[in-house]
Amino acid sequence: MSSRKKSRTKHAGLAERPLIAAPPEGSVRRRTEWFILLFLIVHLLIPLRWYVGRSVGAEVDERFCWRMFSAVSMQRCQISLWETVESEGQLRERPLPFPTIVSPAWNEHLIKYHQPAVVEKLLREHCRKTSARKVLYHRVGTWSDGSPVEVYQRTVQCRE
Amino acid sequence: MKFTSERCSVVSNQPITSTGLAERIGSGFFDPVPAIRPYLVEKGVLVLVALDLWLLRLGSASRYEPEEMSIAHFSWLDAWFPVPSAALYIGVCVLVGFLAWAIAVAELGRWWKGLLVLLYTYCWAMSRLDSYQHHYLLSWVLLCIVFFPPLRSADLFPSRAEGARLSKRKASGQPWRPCVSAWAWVLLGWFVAIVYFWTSVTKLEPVWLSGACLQQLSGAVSLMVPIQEAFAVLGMDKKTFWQLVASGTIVVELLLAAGYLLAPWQDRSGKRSVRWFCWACGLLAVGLHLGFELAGLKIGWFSFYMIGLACISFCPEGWLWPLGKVIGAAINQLDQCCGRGEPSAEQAKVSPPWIVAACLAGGILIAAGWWVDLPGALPACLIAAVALLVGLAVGIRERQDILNGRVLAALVLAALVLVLSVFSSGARSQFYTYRLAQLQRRGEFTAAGQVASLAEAYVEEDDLYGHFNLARFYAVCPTESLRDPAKAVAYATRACELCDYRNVSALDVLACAFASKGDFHQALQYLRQAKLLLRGKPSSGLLADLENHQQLFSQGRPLVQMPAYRYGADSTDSPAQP
Repeated sequence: MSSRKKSRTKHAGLAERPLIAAPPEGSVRRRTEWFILLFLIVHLLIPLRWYVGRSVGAEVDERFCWRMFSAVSMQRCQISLWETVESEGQLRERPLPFPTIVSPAWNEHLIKYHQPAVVEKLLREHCRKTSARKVLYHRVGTWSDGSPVEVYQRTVQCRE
Repeated sequence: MKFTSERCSVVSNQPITSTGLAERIGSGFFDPVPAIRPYLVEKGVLVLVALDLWLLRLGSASRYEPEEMSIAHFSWLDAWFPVPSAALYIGVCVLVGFLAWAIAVAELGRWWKGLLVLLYTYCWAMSRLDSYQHHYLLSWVLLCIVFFPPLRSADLFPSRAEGARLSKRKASGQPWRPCVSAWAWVLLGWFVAIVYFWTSVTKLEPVWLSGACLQQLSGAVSLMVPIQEAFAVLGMDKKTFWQLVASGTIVVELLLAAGYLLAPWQDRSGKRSVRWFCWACGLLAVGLHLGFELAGLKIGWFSFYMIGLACISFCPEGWLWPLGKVIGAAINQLDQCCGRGEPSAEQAKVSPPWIVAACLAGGILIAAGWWVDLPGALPACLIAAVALLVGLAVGIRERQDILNGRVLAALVLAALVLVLSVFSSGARSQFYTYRLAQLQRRGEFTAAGQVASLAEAYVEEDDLYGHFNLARFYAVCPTESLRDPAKAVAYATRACELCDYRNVSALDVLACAFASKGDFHQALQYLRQAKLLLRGKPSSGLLADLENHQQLFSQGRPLVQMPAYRYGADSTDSPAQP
């Protein structure tokens, strides 16, 4: 008997074994099939969110997109925060000590993951806690190969 | 034990005439697979989840502070659920661990697994501070496990006599190796294939393909240096080598995606090529994820989950049964010790010894929560104990064996593992020293003083960050009654020893500690040493800090910290009034 035939004989053994959980039947089977199909389609589509979002210029982050070790996540970035305040009847823009405004954990998060929703929340929180007129988030950085990353800037008008 | 009278006939291997590929693939989800594969994945993932939560994630709970900004992964969580706090996070982690452990050991049903998925998902989704993709991945893995067929150890690994009764094959000397129709197991493989596929798509970006990303990882560089040198001998330049490695990673991930799609067919198909391909994929997966670990990527236990999954999915089935037998034997033994077995109607009734045992188990859970000494742990253990007592009460009322001995044993075991995990992992050291730094940063010095005593009690000998935080607090705390220069010097010295006096911040804090003691000569000496370490590096805030401190110490003034930032006022580290 050739080795190929031997192999077939050995694995045909699966059919000889006892089955301790039978496949679903009838309507349960049909529902299960739909669930499987839906599950697979959802997982194929969710990561598209990042690619489609980027192509139409939307602000998207990499969550749920299986972008492990992406070039984006390996950017080296610097963040600065500026607020516009009214002082003696005049508007004055001044830098904020960003690393000490948020906890080190959020600080690390903002540098490591670029999530526009977190930036928005940070700026809104600052607006809520201070009398600033306007607050600006500025992010610059470089890609792994040293080329500059497109500057990201977000401004929130706290009050008129 | 309920068995179907069917055998594991494989539909997808039979010729299909009019049904087409879709139905063939569809039937592939329902065709039998060796029961050992889903069995081991279920046990392995559940135990790893519990240990992962208790060993790695409890310590980082101090990042969750209601006073700080908070944003969940889903906006409805922010609207419906409380703002995450360390106590909430720890409580959920402890409960999820208990549940995972109880499901693995006591083999609880599908509803419990569903609850586990919800709680586990809430655990990472409550805040975007946890943005690790593998936590999200694990939620889906656990969801697949919910739909695994019920795989009891007693069914897979029956006693010798039971096995002989159940199978003529057993009597004829053939091992008892049942199979199951487990569509969710096949689905899990396909899901992992999709993950690998998208991960490889991610790497098609020019920056990755240039090899620059890989070269950014110092661990990867040191790992690949000997190989690169070998290729250099063959005439390949460094740039081409790294491009090759980057492209190779994509190929490996695509192969793994294909491997996971085919894995369920390796046991059904007689084709040697399929089996060889799967074995090769197993080796590639182990190599790839070990490489990630050796490269020093800080990705928690992701590599271990994926290595375990690859081993169970791709290894020859025959290698897995002995491992399963060890696990099954342990669970069966526990079953026998706790007197569950197949309970008769009489045994099933809740008896006074069970009531005593349940109360004892509840007491052990509460003791574990108290012993762990982390906020949220005790309430979580109380919830588990109350759930036990509720199960007991329902059992008494319904005269049913709702709370069996194995559940009690599983929870007691889980409580012991929790205590051991917390004691061995340095979770409390990490938690309290980080909390200390946070309170200090916010200027809540009285609260910081209370936490400092806990941090001192639990700080691990090799915790650089912990010693640094303690030293900083005792050196620069503005409340004089809390400042303790002697302790500051001791902790700062230990921090410097741990980094071999090569960390600028540690040297700076040692200088501050000596300054708080009044020894400005020594303080200036350590500052000079710190500045030497920064020589040749680009100017940074760190250098400016050192210069400020040097100026202060030269004037014979120690550093006293003010809250780093307060809304509505500009304030930074400022010197004490002479």
